Order: sequence, then structure tokens, then C-alpha cells
Amino acid sequence: METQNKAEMDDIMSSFRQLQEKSAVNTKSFRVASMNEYLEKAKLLPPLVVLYPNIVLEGDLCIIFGQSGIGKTIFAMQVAREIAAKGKRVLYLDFEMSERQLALRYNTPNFPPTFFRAELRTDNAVDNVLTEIERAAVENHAEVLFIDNITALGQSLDKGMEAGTLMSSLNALKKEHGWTLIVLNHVPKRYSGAMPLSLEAIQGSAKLNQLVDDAIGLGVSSKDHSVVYVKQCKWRNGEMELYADHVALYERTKDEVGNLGFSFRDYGSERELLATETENGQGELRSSVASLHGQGYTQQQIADRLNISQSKVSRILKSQMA
Amino acid sequence: MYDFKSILATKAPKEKRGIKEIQSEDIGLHYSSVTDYLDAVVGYDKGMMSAIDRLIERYHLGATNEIVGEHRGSVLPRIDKNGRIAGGSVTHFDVSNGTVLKNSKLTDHLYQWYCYDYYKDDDVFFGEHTLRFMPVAVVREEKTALLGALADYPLHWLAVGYGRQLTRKMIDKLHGRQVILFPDESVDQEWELLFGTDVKVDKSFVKTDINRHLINRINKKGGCNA
Repeated sequence: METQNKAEMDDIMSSFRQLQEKSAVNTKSFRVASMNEYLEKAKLLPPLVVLYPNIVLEGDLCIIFGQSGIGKTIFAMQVAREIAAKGKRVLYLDFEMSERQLALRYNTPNFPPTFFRAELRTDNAVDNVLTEIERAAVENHAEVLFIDNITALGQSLDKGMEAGTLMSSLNALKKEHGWTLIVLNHVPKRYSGAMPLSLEAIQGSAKLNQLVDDAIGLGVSSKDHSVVYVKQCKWRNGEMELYADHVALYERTKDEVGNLGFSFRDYGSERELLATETENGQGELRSSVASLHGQGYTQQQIADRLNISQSKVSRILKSQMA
Repeated sequence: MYDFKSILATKAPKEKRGIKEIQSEDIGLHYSSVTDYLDAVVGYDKGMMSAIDRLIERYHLGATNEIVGEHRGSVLPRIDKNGRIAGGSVTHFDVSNGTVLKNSKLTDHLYQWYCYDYYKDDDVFFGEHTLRFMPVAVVREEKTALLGALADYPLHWLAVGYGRQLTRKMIDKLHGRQVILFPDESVDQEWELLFGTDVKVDKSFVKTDINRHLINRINKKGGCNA
């Protein structure tokens, strides 16, 4: 076929063929090369570094979203803590919690020494938060930045910058400095437990979808509010592990030194977690707990059998005793 | 011959006057020395002569009453991308070999032919109004562009126009497209010197005749998408 084409190609078309096969030309704004050149270059890239499995890859822009009060900060702090434990310098820009709230959640200062927290100083009016974020990160040699959260950050900006635009600016900074960037975001209340998690829940989602590499949604189980599930709503590099039928279930707990965190429980289906609980269902659960308790099962054993948290078993038993 | 709509168009300012479509029943009025030459080139093949009719419609080729060697003068308008006539020429061709016997400005004939005056733009190619996304071959003569269109290349053919000069503005219009200039020996040095750094200049047809090359292809292929 190729030979035949060559034979058919006369002077005029061969001249155009040369033009068509001309090397790519870079412009001021674009680096242009053949697909093969890009692929050859991509082969030389270092392998992807997983900073936190299924949540954060090195160099990515990741958004963690969920309804207010669900435990995004606790989850993000835990992720940040593990990343810092690997020796990465983590800067957690906290626009959300006061020192008192912090103390209520974490009793023991046992975080890795490379975990840094930043909060806006109230004694100094900030003209441009983005510039200040950049300065704080650069001067502290941060490699991984957490911004908690973009809504609060947006409110602290004078010009009322829209979240998508703000993310776009952050992304540019990320690329310039080679950071890994994790941004937390609230979603409207209508996404509280009844609707599947989706990036569409976030305002300006179309723009965000283009910008972010990974989007991690946090939802709460409608059966047990101390169980939070984690779902990958976008995962650019590699295969998705936490999808609708296979979300990761965590239970909010305090560890042995009194620090709040999430413990992994199991995998589950988002649909089952979203199922609306009827009065009957609630009653059945209560009687099942009572029955198992009467048979001498421990709270943890009951929790495991009924696929609820131990704290929920405890609450049900307490209410029955009352 | 001219409908009410086109008469109304003549009332518009010069730069806004559009050209009307040629009706198929009027096609015979548009036969001239250039189409007679092309008919001869294709050996009066029925299918190819229909393709030549489509060229007449596409390029708005016209004919004058003046006859040289039993053939009418060919109206070869240069039409801009907005469908406005920006100039052109009236040429009498030798039907046996395509050489130009007589060439005059379109101005002398335009009013009689199109019933209205036109605005002038020297930087419009012959064929520019049909320009789409295909790679572009630029040649000197209108006749060559018409032969190129008949030769069934996946290319767009533009002509500078017989006796006219290729300008910087014309080249700039093609910026970003795949463009190759195919000069003949009368313009090869000029085109190379002025535009060689911006676009590719293919000198394959300086010593050999591009028209002959195209005719050979037309006869070999025996078809076209004109």
C-alpha cells in the first residue's frame, strides 16, 4: 500500500508531503513536538510516587471534597501526617481551625517534625493571599501543600475570586515550584448523604475538572454517621481503586494518645451507604443489637456482624439502658 | 438574465455588492476560450465537461461578446472570501495550446457582464473565495489553477493572475496553512527572493511546464472532483 502510494505520488504531492512532515515549531506559549517525541521523553520520567495510596500522588493537584462537618480536615491531617512521616516537608495552610479547636482534636503533639502548620496572622492585613502562600511555602521549603479550605481562602480574598480561578492560580504556582498540592473544598448541603459523590457537586466543577489531577470525595454513611467513605471521583494517573461499588470505609476514632483520626474498616458500596434508613430499619437494628448483646457478644463483635461502628453499638445500648 | 435580487444588489455600496449564483440553464452563456481550451484538454469527455461546468459555477467564469479566433473572451474574476469581486481579467486563449492571445482588464467589461461596478483589491487571488482548509498550491496563471482543480489533487489551487504580482498581503492571508508556491520561469527568482523565507517555493516547474504536468494527470486519471 505504502509502495503504491509512493508510486502514485507525483512531484506536486511529494512536495506537499515534505511540508506535511516538517518538524514541529515551538511558539511563545506552546511546546510542540511529535507524539512519538513526547512518548520517548515520557519514558525517561521517574516513576509515579505514591505519597498516600489512592489519595495523593507526588506532583499532583488533588482536591478533597465533601459536605461540611464530615471530617475532611481530620482526614486531610491524617494524610498529611503520613506524607510527612515519609520525610516530605508538608505545609498545612489552615484557614479553618483555631488553636483551641486543634487542641480539642489532638491531645498529643506527636506529629512528624516535617509537618508544619500555617495560619493567617491576624495582626497583619494581607493584600494578596496567593503571594503570601507562595512566600510561606518557598521560605519553608515545602514540598507538599495542603490548603484547608479553598472556600475559606476565597472568603479571605478581597476581590471575591471564584474558586476555579483561584485553583488555576494555585496550579500555576504548583507547576512553577514543583509542589504537590492538596486542596480541601466544601460541597453544598444537598450532597449530604443522599446523592452519590461527584465532582459536579463543586461550584465551577467544569473548570476544576480540567485543573485537578485527582478528586477525592468524602461522604458519610447514612446508617452510621461515624463511618465515612472515601471515593475517587477523578484519578488521572492510573487505575481507579475506590469507585462507587468499592469505596473505602473509615471510622472516626481517637487513637491511644487521644488524637483524632480515621481507622480503615472495609470496602463497601456507595449505593448501600446512601440508602435511606426507614423507621423500621432503625428499629430492626436496635433489636438486633439488643439481641446480640443479650447473647453475650462484645460491642466490637456486634459492630462487625451488623457492619456498623462500635461507637454506634455503644450509643444504641446506652439509649436502651436509659 | 439577471434576477431582481441581483439588480437590487447593484444599489448597495460597491464594497458590499455580492455576486449571484450562476444558474445551470445559463451555463452555455459562460462558455469561452478558457472552457473551450479545457474541453479540448479533456478530449471532450462527457464527465469531464460536466466537471468544467462546475468549475464555471465555482469560479464564476464568464464570457464576453468579443471573439478572437472563433472563441469568446474569458472573464476570470478574482473574488474575495466574502464573495465580492475585487478585480479580474478578460483573456482570450488559444484553444489548441492555452497560450494567451489577448488580455485586458476586467474593468472594461465588468459592467456589461455583471451589471455593476466592483470594488478594487489587488491582493485577492483568483480562487480565493473557494478557499477552505486544504493545503494550498499557488500558481501564476488562472488557467493553471483551473487545470489543478480538474486534476483531482487534495489541494486548493490559487492563482496570482496573468500579468499580476504576488504581494506580501496575499502571502500573509495564507499564514498558518500548508502552502507551496509553484513559480514558472518568469517569476521564480522574484517569488524565491521575496517569500522564500516564509513559505516553501517549489521550483520543479521552472524548467518544465506545470500545465503539461497537470494535463497528463487529468488524462491519466480521467476524473476529477471539481
